[in-house]
Amino acid sequence: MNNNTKDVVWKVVKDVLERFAFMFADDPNSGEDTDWTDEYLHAVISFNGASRGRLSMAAPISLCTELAANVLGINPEENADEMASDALRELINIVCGELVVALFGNEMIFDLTVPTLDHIDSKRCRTLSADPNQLRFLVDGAPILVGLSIME
Amino acid sequence: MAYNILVVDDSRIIRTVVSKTLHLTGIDIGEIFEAENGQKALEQLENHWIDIVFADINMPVMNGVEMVDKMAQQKMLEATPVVIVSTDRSVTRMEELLSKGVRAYLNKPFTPESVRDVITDILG
Repeated sequence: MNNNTKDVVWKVVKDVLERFAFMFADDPNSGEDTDWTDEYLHAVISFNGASRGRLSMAAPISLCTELAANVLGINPEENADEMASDALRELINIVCGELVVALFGNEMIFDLTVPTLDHIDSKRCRTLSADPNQLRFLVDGAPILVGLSIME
Repeated sequence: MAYNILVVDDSRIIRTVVSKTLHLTGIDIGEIFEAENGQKALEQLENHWIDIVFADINMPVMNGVEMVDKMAQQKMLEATPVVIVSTDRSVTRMEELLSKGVRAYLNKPFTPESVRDVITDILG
């Protein structure tokens, strides 16, 4: 991911987080000293159209629960954890929809896959964070990793 | 008159948000039915009177575009208004869906005002 693309990804994620969940992200590469001790949800979505690629997002389960609570307008204690996976899946879905328009314009049709989700541990997250294709930043003090790869 | 609404989205959180939003519009809402894909939505449409459908595009089993096509083939359903609620921001996709008879297009995330305006425009 070059710097221009990173800038676009950062702006789209920041904007979607604010509008979708009323959450605010710190600058890219904030959280460099993150200790990556939590357990994480890792969502992946692919897009195919004028270009094809893959977007991924990893966030601590606790942050995903907070995301769900904010979207639903409830307290995190009110069963928001049941919606944590759905919240991250929907976040990556919205981000991907906006990202392809930001990168390629709104004339092209892109087919997006249904996002997949798995759990990853702190070790895997630490490894991912070292990848230059990953953008790292903090949301409410918790780290989020966003990765984008464009095949053609 | 209270309107019955069908919300079609594979995301439970989005179905919940749409349902909550509908109650914030100030419009008299009757029953809100939910379906997780186009196939389940067609089953709901066979079993209940629905005044308006809010549907996502990108869903497993049967997506929103396939659901709209199936509805257009059925006399009982062809006049039921469908509003697409999607992350897809392609103008070309929007035009394609509007040409298939979709009545309106809302981008996620949406506001209660945009939902209210769409229902008012379609149902009066």
